[in-house]
Formats: sequence, structure tokens, C-alpha cells
Amino acid sequence: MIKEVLIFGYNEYAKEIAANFEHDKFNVYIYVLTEGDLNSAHNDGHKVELVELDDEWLDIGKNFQLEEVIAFCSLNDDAQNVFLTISLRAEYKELHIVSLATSKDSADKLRLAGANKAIPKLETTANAIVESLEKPAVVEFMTDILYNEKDLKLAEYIIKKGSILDGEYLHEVELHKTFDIIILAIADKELEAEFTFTAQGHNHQIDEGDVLVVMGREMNLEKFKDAIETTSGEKK
Amino acid sequence: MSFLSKRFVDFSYFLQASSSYQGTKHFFYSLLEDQSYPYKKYFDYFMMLLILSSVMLLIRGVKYPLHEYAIIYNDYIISIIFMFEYTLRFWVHSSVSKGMISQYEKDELLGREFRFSRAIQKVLAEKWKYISSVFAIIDLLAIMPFFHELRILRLFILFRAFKIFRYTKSLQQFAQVLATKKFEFFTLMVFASVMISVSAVLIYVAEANNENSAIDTIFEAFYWSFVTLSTVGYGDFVPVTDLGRVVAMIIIVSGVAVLAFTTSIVVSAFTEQLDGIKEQKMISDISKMKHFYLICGYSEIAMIVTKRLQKDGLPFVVLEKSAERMVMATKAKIPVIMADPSKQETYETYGINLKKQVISVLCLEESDVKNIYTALTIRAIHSEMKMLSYLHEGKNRKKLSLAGVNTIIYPQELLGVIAKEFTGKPVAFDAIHVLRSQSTNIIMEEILIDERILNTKKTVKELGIDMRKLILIGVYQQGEFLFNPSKEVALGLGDTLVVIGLDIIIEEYSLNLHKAKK
Repeated sequence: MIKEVLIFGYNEYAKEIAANFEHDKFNVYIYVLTEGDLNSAHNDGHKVELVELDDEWLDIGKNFQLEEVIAFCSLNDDAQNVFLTISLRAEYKELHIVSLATSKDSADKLRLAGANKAIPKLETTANAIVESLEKPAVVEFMTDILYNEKDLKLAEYIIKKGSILDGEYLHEVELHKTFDIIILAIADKELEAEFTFTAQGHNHQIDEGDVLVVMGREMNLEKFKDAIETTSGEKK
Repeated sequence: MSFLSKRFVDFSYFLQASSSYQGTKHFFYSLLEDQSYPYKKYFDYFMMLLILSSVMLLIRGVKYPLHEYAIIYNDYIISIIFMFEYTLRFWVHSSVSKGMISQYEKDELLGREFRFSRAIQKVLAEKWKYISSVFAIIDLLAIMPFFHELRILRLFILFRAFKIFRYTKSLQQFAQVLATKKFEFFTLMVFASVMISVSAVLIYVAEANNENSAIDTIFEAFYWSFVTLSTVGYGDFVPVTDLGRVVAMIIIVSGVAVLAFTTSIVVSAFTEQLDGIKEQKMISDISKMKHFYLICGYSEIAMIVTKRLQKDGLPFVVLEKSAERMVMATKAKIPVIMADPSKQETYETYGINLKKQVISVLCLEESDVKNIYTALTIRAIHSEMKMLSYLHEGKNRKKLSLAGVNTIIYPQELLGVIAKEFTGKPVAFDAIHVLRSQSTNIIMEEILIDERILNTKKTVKELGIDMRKLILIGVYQQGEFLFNPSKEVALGLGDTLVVIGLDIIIEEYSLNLHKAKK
């Protein structure tokens, strides 16, 4: 479970990322390269530290539990961002690194440098523009469900051994209907997302360890979660 | 005012007010003269076909006798059609009634007697402009074969070939381009005429009395000069005296110069006019587009957006002020006009109809200042236009929305929220990304409920969605999202269904929804 967010650089992107995570009560730490950024981040009330690009980043390993940390590389210069990403990766194999890139080309380099995820700023924005033209309703729905604090939520549940759904076929599951929930997809194993979408029509057999991606109202999701955690033998 | 002139004025007012008369006249005007009229091209094709058939009959008639029907077709039918066309063009060229009324009203205003003769004079002067135009003269000559008893008039069939110019835009453009170099061509012609005249006289003096020379008359001397200057040199007349040969050497050298000069004039005329021709083509292409997105500014972000739109086959037009970016857009084969999107006249000049043609406007300029200015220009022209704008600095957000922008895209904010994805539900987010990126054939799509669908489907149940093949996530009804709606929910006009499914299934389902008739 992620608890700490490390952000490198303090530009407009970094500010937005910091604001979003602080809003959700994550611990945000900002690392900057210049005095100017140090002051402005400090004035904005962040925990901030002045660092140098060729640091060895030993403090991170000492101060944080790596599995609880996510690092955002948001330096203005793509070359610096690549250098930072590769330095972090050299030191910490398991650190989750997300890097921002100007274009798709730089994003490719960042991925080679070891970023778990590289976000090309221009392409992402352009896609958002085109999507909002082509499918305004879909975009509105996705934004609501993904980012806005509405009742409707997206959730994922791991099927545990002995769950009521263990061994069932996807198309035969009726349980969700009682809770007004839509089963969107099923992933074979966590993170190695090989999705079977419900609408694809394959009648996938649900096994232990599969991840169910569902949509529904928060309250119903809770109930659904309880229901699938019930083992097939017992009754609640 | 005399009785007759009063009648004329009355009749003029009657014609001006008659909608059927004006409608008919407008129809013929569009058919004959309006390049943007969609049916004009069929009329043009028809006329070209007539011309080609006529010229072919002329060629065949040289060696073989023509069938009686072919003669009737060529001499009468085509001529009569051409005569009709000539008369119609004469009619639509200017308005007699309008001229009458304008003179009458002018005289009334100044408090003097209506001058009928002056009105007639003005009207005739307008019509004369048509009669004396090059095209009208060619048209008239092309009708001449109708009077085929006069043998010489048969040759006028050739003028029908010239008529082709009227119906082919590219030939007209060619002539227009060359017309821009009138002065150069004139200079060249004077030079060539002087050279031909001087050398013709010289060769005549040198060779006319020489027994071995074929050149005997001044016409032959002119003919020889012309053939030599043009660098053709048939060789049927050859100078034999020393003086004659010296003249030949001089005229050959000048001939090469004249030829080179001509070529360079033609080439430079085209290079200079090329942009103009391309722009004309672009304007005519745009006027034919029914709906498109208007992109203001070809910035970095616009480059990627246009690439996506191109890939998805969506129509769009880019307005870009700077020549440098314009070149980049042209290279990327993007429909672009070099014009300032923040000026109202741009939309008039290029015939962009915001109300009828533009689906929505995308302000993707280099700075917020420019985007705001452009947005206000668009708002001033069309108050309901849907606008999307890129926001460069967060502090300007309010200004953009005050300028009337409906959707604001601020990349920093966008990435800020996306960043949150990496902490919570990785699998769920990945699933959504797969849907979004359209990398598989599973997509999330929206279907608008229009009148056609409403005719047969009144409730969610009647939509007949099989949740195994197609998942109905919800319905947008008047801004509210109904998640997983129950079967009884009633549908309304303008509702939007959000569905997930295989692309082909969604496509077929949507088609079937529209196809179903009551």
C-alpha cells in the first residue's frame, strides 16, 4: 500500500500532483534542484529538500519502506529526468517510478531508463482533447468514475481461495445483479493484466487469484465485497 | 413621366418583387456562373461532351461524308443548345429591372424627371460588357455553324473547342496565371516582331534577286524569319548568299534567347501564383465540406491532435498565421489556411460558415492571450459555438471561461489526477486504459438517442441489449448519469448511452437501432 509520495522538481505539474496526493492524505515529499524552487515549495507549505542530481539517493532507502513509496520524476528537462530515473533505478530495483516526459520519444527513453510508467505530456493532453471531441459522454463518465469524488466507483477485488465465485463461470455469475454492480473485466493475475472483458464474450472460469474489476455505487461495492469473500461453504 | 416609361418602371418593380422570377434567374445564374454550386459541374460535363462530339464530327467530316442525322445534330441541335446557353448568360449577367429601379429612385431622390433614356443607356452598357467579353465572343462564334449555308462559317466549329475553356477550371487558371505576365509577354512580342521584321527585310534584300535562292517574295522572307526565330527551321527556304547567312546566324541566336525568355516567364508566372492557386483550391475544398472541426493555431499540441484526428478520419481545418508553421502543416498533408484565426475577416474571406459547417472550435494557439482573443472573435460571430481551449497557465483559467470557452484542457491538472492512478487500483485503471487506448477491439462508446431510435425504442428494455455481448454502463439523461439503468427507465431525445463491447458489435448494434422502422 502506497503511503509516501516523492516528487522530484517543483513545476506546475509537480504542484498539481502534490495537491492531488495531499488532498488524499498521502505524505508528500518534494526534492528540488534550485534555491528558487526550494523557497517556493517551502512557501506553499510542502516538506521540501534541496538535492543534487548526482546524489546517490541513499536517504530514500534509509527513510522509507520502498513498497510504500511512489516516486514522480517531474524535472523540466527531459535529459535530467532520464538521468534521475536511471540513478534511482540503479540504487533501488523495487522502487515504483513514474516519470513525466515532454513527448513520446522521451517517454520511450524514460522507460528504457527504468521508469515503471512514463507519461508523455503532449500526447496525453492531445488524446484528452480528441477524446473529448469524439466521445464527450464517455470522457465525462470516465472522469467521474476515475477522478471525481462521486458515489460511483471503480473497484478491484482479488478472488480468494474458497470464495463463492471461485470456480464459477463469468457468464453464469448472478451475484452482482443483486447489488446493482457491473462486472467490467477479469484479470488473470494481479498486475500482469491479461484482461478478459465481460463484453468479449469468453466464458472465463473464475479462479483463485483472479482480479475482478467492477463498477458500482460505493455502498453496493462494499456489500458485494463482503459477499464474494464469503466462502462457498459458510453463510453470512 | 411618359406612359411608356411608367409602365417600364412598374414592370421592373414587379419583376424585382416576383420570387418565382428571381428564383429562376438565381437558379440559372448558379448553374452557369457559381463555382460553388454543386450541380454546376454536371452542366459543365454535359457541355464538354457536346463540344467533344462536335469536334470529332468535324474531324470525321474532313475525309468521309457525315450521316444526315450527324449533320442535324452538329449544325442544329448543338447550335440551338449553345444559343440557349448564350441567351441565358446574357440574361443573368446583369439585371435590367434593377438598373431601371436604381435610376428611377435616384431621380426621385434628386427630385427630377425620370430619365428613361439614361436608364436604358446604363442597362445596355452593362449588357455590352458581357457581349464584348472574350468568352461571350467565343460562345457567339461557336453558334455560327448553325448558318451552315455559309461554308466559311463551318470553320467556326473550331471555336467550340475554345469553349472548353469555359468549363474547365484548370484551363481558366492557366490563362489567369499567364495573364499576370502581360507586360513581359508584350515586351517579348515587340522584341520578336522587330527581329522578324528586320531580318525578313534583310533576307529579302539579300536573296530575292538571287537565282539560287528559294526566297522570292516578302511573305516568304517573313515566313523564313519566323520559322528560323522559333528555332524550328523546316529547311524549305535556305539562305544562299553570305549576307543571308549572316542574318540567319543572328536570328538563330536571338531565337534561342526568345525561347529561353518565354520559358522563364511561364515558369516564374507559375511559381509566383502557385500559393494563390493552392489557396483557391483550399477555399473551394472547404466550401464543399459539410462539417468539420476548426483548429486555431498549429502549435505543438495541435500537431498531435491533428495527427489523431487524421487517423480517426475526422474532418478538420487548421488556421495558422505564421508561414513557418504553415509549411510544417502542409508537409504533414494537413488542410491548413494561412490566416489569422483572431480576425473576423478571415472567416468571410475563406467562406468558413461557423454556424453551418463548424462542429466545434479548438483554440490551440501558443499562448493564453492568443487563445482568449480568438475565442472572443469566434463568440462575436457565433454566440452558440462550442469551443475547447488549451490552457497554458493556470491563472488564466477564469479569463478563458469568461471568453466563453466551454471546455478547458489544462495539461498540468490532467496529469495531476492521472498520477493518482498509480497508487490505488492498478488493475482497474489498467482495464480502463485498455478500453480507452483502443489497443484491443474492446471499446467504450456512446450512442446518441435520436428521433429515429425513439420511434421504436421507448425504454431501456426495448433497446434489447444482451449484457453478455454488450454492456450498458449507463445513460446520460439531462446531465444526470443513470448507472446500470433498470429495464423500465424511459428514454428521451438527446439521451446518450454509454456502452462497452467489441467494436464490430457496437457498430452493428448502433446501425440496427437506426435501421429499425416502426
